[in-house]
Amino acid sequence: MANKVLNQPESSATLLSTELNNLANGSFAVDGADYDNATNMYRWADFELFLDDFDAAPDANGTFELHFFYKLDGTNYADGYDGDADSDSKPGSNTLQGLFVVTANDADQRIQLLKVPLQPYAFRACIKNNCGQDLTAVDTHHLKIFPYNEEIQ
Amino acid sequence: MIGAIPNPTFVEALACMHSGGRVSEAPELWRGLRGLWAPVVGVQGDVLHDLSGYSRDGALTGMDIATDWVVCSQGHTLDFDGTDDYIAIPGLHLGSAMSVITTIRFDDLSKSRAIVGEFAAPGNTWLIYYWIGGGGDRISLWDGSDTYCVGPAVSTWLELAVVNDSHGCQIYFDGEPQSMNGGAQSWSQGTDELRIGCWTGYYLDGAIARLAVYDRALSTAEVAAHYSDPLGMLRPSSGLIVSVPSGTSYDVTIAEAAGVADTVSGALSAVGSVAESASIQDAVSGLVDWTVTLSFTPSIGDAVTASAQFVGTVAEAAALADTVAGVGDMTLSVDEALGVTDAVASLVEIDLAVLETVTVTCTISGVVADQVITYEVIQLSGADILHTLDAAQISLILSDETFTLE
Repeated sequence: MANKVLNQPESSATLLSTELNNLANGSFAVDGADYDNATNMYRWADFELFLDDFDAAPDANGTFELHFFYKLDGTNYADGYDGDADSDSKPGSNTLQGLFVVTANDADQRIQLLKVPLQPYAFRACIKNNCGQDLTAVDTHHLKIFPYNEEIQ
Repeated sequence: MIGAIPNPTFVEALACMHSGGRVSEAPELWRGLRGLWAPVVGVQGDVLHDLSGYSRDGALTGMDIATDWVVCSQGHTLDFDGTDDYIAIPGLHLGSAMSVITTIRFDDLSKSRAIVGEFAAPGNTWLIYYWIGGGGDRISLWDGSDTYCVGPAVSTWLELAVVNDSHGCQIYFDGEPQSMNGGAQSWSQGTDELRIGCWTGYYLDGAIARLAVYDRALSTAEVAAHYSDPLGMLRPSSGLIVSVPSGTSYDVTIAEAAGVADTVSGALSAVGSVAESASIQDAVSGLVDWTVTLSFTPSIGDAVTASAQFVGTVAEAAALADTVAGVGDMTLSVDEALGVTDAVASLVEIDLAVLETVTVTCTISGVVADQVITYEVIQLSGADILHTLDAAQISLILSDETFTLE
């Protein structure tokens, strides 16, 4: 009998946590470490953004943008600027991977973003706050990745 | 028409954008694309993202993002109040060869309404708008003077296309060219922003589901393609297609979760298998020395055919009717639970001078104690008979429970 398939989830990882503390509206936070998809070579990933919580209720239909800066040459990040993937990066349409849409609720919000395609390179994740409010200063916000593959033999 | 096929998600639209449209279902519609804004793929906050790849994101101006993102028959749309709502888009300067296509609804046509235009000085500007007044209502492309057709209906979704180049201007409603008044329009590239829904004193009262801008004149066929599937260019193509090169030996396995129709094809010495979980209709075919294995779980009737040198196996869980058929040297088997009617057939020209064995094997599982099992061998009759299977050539393998054969 042929093999069954397989939409097999792989190990999850936390990409951003304390970096999200006090993230101001209009600002972004970049992961300080790579997610090494050059080794993992996962094809897809789901993401969970946990916001715990806001200085005040955000705008209904406000967003948090998910960006990736890929390290295509193994050294420099394609971050729209000098390749450092840090605070002077320029997240834009070219790096945008998806949107987390929030509700106008000043409380915990746990939001999913599904089936984001991954490229086989290391990257750093970036979250841009565009929800109309700052995140709280010290809390337990996080961005987690849940990668998986469709089996192709 | 939007809604005929499920709308792509924002993530799927981004995947098409990142590939320059190459992974989309309509890559040909990406040629000359300079801006693409699609509220219909989902809420985007106070930014209307440009999905063309040119990063010309639009700023929602005078709009309330809590109430102006509206779900309707098209999916998500942006609602314009006719008073002060518009979207400002920087840096898109079009010459006179251009096309604009939008999925739009007018909620009020009691006065003139802007749709989209470059907000620039005269001579460097253009505007597509609805006009009501002297000469009757109209949809017009304006460059200082009008080229126009008769206006549309209110409160109805419209696929509006405006195509202009040196040969003329043509307006389309729902893919159909309209009778035009006036000729080609021309202007120099402007320097100011594009605005959706606003032009000095004219504001759109209605909704927009998507808007695409090209730097070339689209053909009538391309306009029709937009109308038949407005979101095909933002929908990643589904289904894997694996072609096995002729004359090579190749192993192919496609393993997926659900919802995709696959095609596996090969010429010589190909070995292929498809393994899926549910609700898939697959076609697997080969010419010579072809081995195919299909494995499914529920609710599909599968068909496997081959022309020669065929080894076929269909293995399923339950409740499926299968057909396995071939011509020539064959080993066919069906492996299922009870309660299923299968047909295993060898069709023509089984020549015992060439072929030594035709084996048909049924392995039946799930047998319970004292269960009655019936089987039947149906063969051709008359002059078509080349060989009649005898009992020794029929193998019926049952599970190790107690059973009765009839």
